[in-house]
Amino acid sequence: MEEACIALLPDQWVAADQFEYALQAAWKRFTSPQCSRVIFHFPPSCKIMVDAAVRLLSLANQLIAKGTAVTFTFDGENHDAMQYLHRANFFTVLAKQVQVTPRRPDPRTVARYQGNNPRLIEFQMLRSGHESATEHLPSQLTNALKRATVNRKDTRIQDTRQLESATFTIFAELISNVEQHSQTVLDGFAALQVYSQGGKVQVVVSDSGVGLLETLRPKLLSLEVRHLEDAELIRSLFHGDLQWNPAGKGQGLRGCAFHALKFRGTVDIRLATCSIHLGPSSNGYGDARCRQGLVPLQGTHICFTFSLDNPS
Amino acid sequence: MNIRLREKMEDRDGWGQAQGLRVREKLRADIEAHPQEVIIRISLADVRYTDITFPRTAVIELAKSYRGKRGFCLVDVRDPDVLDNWDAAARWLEQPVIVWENDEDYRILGPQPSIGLQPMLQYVLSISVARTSEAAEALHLKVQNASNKLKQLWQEGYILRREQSASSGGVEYEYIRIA
Repeated sequence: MEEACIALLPDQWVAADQFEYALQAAWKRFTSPQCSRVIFHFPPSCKIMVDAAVRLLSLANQLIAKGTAVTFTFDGENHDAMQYLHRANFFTVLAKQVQVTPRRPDPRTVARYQGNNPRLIEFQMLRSGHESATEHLPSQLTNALKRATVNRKDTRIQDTRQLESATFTIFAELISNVEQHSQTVLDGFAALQVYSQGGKVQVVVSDSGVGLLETLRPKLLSLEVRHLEDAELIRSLFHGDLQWNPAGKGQGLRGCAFHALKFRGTVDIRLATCSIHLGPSSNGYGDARCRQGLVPLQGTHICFTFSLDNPS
Repeated sequence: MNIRLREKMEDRDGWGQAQGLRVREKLRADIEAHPQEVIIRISLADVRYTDITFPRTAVIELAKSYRGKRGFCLVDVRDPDVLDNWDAAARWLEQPVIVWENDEDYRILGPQPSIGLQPMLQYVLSISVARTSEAAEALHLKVQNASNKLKQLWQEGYILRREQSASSGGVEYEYIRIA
């Protein structure tokens, strides 16, 4: 009988960190030399946040592309997470070969919900080779944000405009990067989640192509800097400390960081086997914390998280 | 000449290099069709969001390519947050761009003039035409010093100049603000 690798997601809200723990635990438990099936199990109260969801999406699609069977098992008939992800367009962008139990939600019901989701979350695909299809994405996602924040009584109009401008810039610059540099064959994703209750926004862009640092390292002027550890390199990039050939590379990411800092935003970058977390400090992005030894995930997955309350 | 950027854009939001290049070519065609126009006023009316790459590609690279010959400025900016990205793009390319809030108040995007040049730039921006001898007198400088500062401001892209024949038979310049 084939042995399946089973990832048990926690029975609670699952953010990127919890997702990575669950993956590592599953991969560690799996002892067979060949994995022909991976099962992701969602207990009844499991709800997945967008930073975890894009990693799950990318991993599932990459496994399918490699010929590994993938199953999502939702525990319960009307599983909250399944409905929530369904409204967000998640199952439309998930590879069709992924088996979903008890059953895949009916795609015809998605359109009814889009734009009316109080816990707003939205996924859009970045189709490899179809860049013209992404022309309106930054605007669409920013409009979605605007709809979600319009009723917040504690947000001043000025703050809302700043927030929209920041969101638009981040999506636009990151999507541009995916299209220009990722050399991806698999589709990428852009996703947005507004947590009105928690006063937070997450902006995520994900691709399954060449990793960010593999693209950037050859373009660094200094040989010494090229051999910096991933976390230190990312920190230097966001801090503007690097010299490039040609000059001006990396400016898009720094621009995103500038906007996110206005909202005391944090940045999480998931690369092949590590994840780097940047936190704001008094002079920009200072601290960089790195988690190594993560389950292999191709590509670059960048998440900006910022606060809707009291921007600086 | 006045150009409404929105008319060159497909949508009120602009992003990315591909869109930037398309808009740049339309702007270039307009500008090349009017060789006598040295001041290009770009109106941002009805432009909503822009990222950093779009203004860099569409306008600021173009402004840099014409530096010294034609000057670009921005007008009708309703939302100052939009300018953060234009400023980032201008600093990236080391190309200053003046934004006029009204006839008198302005902001310089991109690299800022050095402290030594600031009074001279303020002077030029406050009048329609600046001549070296008048500038020297207004700022209590020696004529040669004033001439050097004006030339430097022109070379760095903050102002324009045009030739005037001097009574001595040589060439003198008058300096004009980009507005």
